[in-house]
Amino acid sequence: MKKKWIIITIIFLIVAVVLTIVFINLFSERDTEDLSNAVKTNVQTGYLKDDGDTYLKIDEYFDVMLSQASLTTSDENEILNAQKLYETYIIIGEFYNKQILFSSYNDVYAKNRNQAIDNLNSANSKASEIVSYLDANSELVAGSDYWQARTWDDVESMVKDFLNYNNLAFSALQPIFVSSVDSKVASNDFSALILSTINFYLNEANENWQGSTTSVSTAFTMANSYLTNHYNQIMSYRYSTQLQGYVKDILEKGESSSYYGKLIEGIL
Amino acid sequence: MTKTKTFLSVIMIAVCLLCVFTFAGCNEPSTSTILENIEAMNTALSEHDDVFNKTESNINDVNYFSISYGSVIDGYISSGTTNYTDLDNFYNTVFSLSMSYIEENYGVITNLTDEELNSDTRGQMEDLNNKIVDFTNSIQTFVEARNSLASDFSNSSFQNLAPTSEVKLARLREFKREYVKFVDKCVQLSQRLSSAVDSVGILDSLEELEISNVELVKNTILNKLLPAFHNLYVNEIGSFNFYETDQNETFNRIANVVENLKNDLTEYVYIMQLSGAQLSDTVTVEEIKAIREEADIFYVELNDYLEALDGLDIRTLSVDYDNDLTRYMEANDRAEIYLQKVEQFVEVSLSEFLDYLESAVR
Repeated sequence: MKKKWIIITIIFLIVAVVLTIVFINLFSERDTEDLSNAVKTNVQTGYLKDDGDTYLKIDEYFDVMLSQASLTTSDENEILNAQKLYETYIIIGEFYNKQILFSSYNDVYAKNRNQAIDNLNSANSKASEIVSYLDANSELVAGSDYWQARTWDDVESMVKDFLNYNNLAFSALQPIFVSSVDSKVASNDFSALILSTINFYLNEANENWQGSTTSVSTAFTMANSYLTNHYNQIMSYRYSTQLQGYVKDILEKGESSSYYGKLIEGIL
Repeated sequence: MTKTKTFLSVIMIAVCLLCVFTFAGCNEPSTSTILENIEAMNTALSEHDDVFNKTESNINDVNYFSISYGSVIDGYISSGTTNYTDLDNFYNTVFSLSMSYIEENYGVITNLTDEELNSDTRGQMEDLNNKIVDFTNSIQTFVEARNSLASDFSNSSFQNLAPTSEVKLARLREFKREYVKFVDKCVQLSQRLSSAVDSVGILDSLEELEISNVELVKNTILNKLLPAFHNLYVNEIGSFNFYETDQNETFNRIANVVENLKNDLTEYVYIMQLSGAQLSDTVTVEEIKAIREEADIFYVELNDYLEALDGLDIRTLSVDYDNDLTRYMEANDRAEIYLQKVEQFVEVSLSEFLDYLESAVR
């Protein structure tokens, strides 16, 4: 009889454990906290913090490298592109940090969440790796700074990986923002247009990072204008019929719209 | 024999569980119970008609409750003395508006037979009933607090003090804290009622019948907006000494939000005043649908704002951190984001939506 109760208790315990696991998985699957926490950590304390040690050190390195007289044109373009791309990711990261917190779970979210989290974390690790390398090399070269030791050959591949992780992370964050941030004041046709256009130019700059810096400059100008200086323009879009008219025209005609030029200049 | 016993045991457990689940769903109060409790609430209010006056207020041409605070304090309010006018302009306005919504709309629920209730509304009955009882119980507590305040201010030792003396203001703040609890229960009840009214689907039915009722839509939308005012100013600010803490940059940001919120409340009351001939009778059912859709979009903003307000926790920021946002960020690293969301809601979303609503219903 006693044995029988032990068996029944064990069966109940197994059922309870299985049900607990199932429920935990069900709830965590629909949880939106992990992503907003990942964005927050990287923006407020990680590599995307605009006055953080990581960014300041890498940015300083770019500045000094650009002052090197022996730099080739393609290296110079790479560094210029990388510097501006990093700066643009910081601006967009701050914007997403304010918005993704107020998002809800859906299919697009589910599809893109892990890509965003994994690549943000990988970018942060890669940025730390770059900083460690720079620190180590500045110690090694006696009497001169590390950047004078022509470190670009070593750093180049790390920066390329770093930018690639960012590209993947921000490409995933954009559809999440558009589909999951329920607020139409923040997530509307205007903000969606701005972010997709910025994303387009960021992709272009990443693909052609040894070439011209026009793409990244456009992305940076737009991000700086709409996501920081004229942030209120997005917030009041729903109440501005004039702006809605411009956006509608651009959405219909694309680059041939007479307002497209103003859009990419950040003055729509 | 053992097998039979086991089988019977399983059957009995199943029957017991069935009973538990069945009876668990049987404790919803009927509409007649709700009506009885509403009447008890009205009786409790009318028993204290020296405190709750039903007069034609400045809010509308409808008779709203206004509250008498005793001749001394009423005198300060009517003369526009700072800190006292809030009692009339904010606390009483929010109370009157939520109370008037309850008075005008409880019939939507109580006139229904229990058979007419849909499953959604039936599920909300118990909570609605609890809110009614809860609010009714708070009436006596509030009246005692008001009587105690009126008595203190009529006392000769108080009479000689200036209205803005710290002794008087401290006493006023103590009363405001009690008032906050009272208004909070009234707002909670009105919100619960509007959810129940919504779930009955009266607005959907009107649309299906091609009937355009601007006033009903306007009032339903406005009632749902009350937490926007109540939760920040009455609940958050009114329940502690916000104005006594350090007046730094964060203090100024929050004070600015409060000031904007007060302006928005003025516009809110103005829209509430629009009735009869002032309301458009040419608004079509399609336009009513558009207004409701716009309101639904706005409620998302409202929910985000309430979430941000909750996350910000102004009381902790003010009382424990002296409004020092930088220091507070070490404990609440999203405080800046929450504060920005609150600012954006009050300065942009709320005022823009009220402008929209005003032009849409006229």
